[in-house]
Amino acid sequence: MKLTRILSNLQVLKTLVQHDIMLHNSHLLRRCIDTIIWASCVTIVAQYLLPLFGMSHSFGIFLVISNSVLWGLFEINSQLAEFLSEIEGGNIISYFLTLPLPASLVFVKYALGYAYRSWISSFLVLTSLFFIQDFGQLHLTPWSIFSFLFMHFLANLFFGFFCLFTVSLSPDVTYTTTIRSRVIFPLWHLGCANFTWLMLYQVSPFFAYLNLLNPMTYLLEGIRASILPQFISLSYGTCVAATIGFIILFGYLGIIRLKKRLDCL
Amino acid sequence: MNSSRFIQISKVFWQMILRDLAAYRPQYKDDLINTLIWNCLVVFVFAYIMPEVGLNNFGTFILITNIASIGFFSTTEKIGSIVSDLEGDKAISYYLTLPIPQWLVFVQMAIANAMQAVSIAIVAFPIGLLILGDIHALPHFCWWKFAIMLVVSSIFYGFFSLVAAAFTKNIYSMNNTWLRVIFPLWHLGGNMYPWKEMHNVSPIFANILLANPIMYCLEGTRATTLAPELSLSFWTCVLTLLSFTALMAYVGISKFLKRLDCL
Repeated sequence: MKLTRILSNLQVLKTLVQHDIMLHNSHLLRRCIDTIIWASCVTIVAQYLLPLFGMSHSFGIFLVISNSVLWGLFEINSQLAEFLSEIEGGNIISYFLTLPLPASLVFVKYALGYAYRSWISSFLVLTSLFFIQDFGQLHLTPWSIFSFLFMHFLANLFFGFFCLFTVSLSPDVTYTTTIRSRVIFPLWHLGCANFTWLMLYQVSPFFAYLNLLNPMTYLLEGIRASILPQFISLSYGTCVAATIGFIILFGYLGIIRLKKRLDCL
Repeated sequence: MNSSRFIQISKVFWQMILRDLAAYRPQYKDDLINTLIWNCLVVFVFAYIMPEVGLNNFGTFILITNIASIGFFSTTEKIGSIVSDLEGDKAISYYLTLPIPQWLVFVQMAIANAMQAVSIAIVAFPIGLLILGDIHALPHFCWWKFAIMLVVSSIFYGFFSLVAAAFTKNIYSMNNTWLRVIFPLWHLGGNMYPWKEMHNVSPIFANILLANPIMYCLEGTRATTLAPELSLSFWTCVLTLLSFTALMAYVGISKFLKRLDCL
């Protein structure tokens, strides 16, 4: 009896997520263009101009691989505004909450939908490898490619659930700028996007240990550990385990806070 | 008669500016904190961590670039509220009924945004210098040129955001505007390199980038604070920016007048 119930819940969840995916796919081309523009601008500057200031020539590829994860963090901005306007409008989310599905799974559906959006478009960041033209720096074996894809998937799953958490922190849509400046930007800029954890450790061990509380550190170190072994600072396994831990933590906090906010049963 | 009309228009215009500044005051603290977080983190990372990657003496450069960019982000942030007003409350319709020429309503919006941007940048600058921790970081600093550049670039940003808002169809297109226009203009506008370095890498691309007005905002501000020989000349930047401002004002106002069916 209980198993049937679980299976039926999962079936409803699957249908809702499929619906989200279908809706998003209709805007996919537009989003892919945005991704390519952004990634190309960043890569051209890193690959051709920053070396003139003494930056290592491998910084271009370092940044492309990091950006394939970072894109999902930036996607949170638009998803946050969208979710908050749904909550403020009230109609759509109220409908989902009346479905024969535990309220938690409704929020899981949102997280999975958002994870899909950032996952699918962030692959396009890799098109900027075209500007690098030195693929010898990439460690391309079946295992490393699998590790990369797995970490990329986990990272986007994290962003989906982290989005729920940021929504739960925001009182209204006007708060999105504050979330971007006070949460997303510091996580990104201090989260080993432009440097490895080891470099940070050489500058300030205290600050480096403090940065281990930043989930972006694990996502970025993990993705680089999979395919750019020359930049390894934290082991791949550690990054995977920490990312899963953060997904559970932020998923739990986000869902609890949203259920409270929306007076769910 | 003409002069009394002019005085009346000036009074209304000034009252509108004051009203916008008063309405902005409660939000100022939050905007300032957000900007300081961004500026301090970027300066900290580039001054203390990035030298490990080989990027030396970049902290000062990035601080000046940030100060010049604050206005850009602060004014473009307003595009969302302008567009949502056009789609929703249409509070702008009320301003268009005031006893001033309708085009002045848009000029007022740009000027008010520019003033808000300046009010944030002048606080962020000394705090960024504190993060650098070097009182001799800017031996070429010329305060009056810096002030002129800050005002000129902020006014340009104000009119630029007007154009961007005029061409943004609805609130959902905001992300497109940001990623396809604002970000490339800024990132390819010399936010991490001087124009002369770009010229060394690719003279053709560097010459194309001279059509990017953000390049003049960033280069001009750097010309007033860092070694002048590294940047385009200060007066070239000021004059070019004034021309771009006039162009943006014309395009933005015409587009808005058309979009809002003004007389």
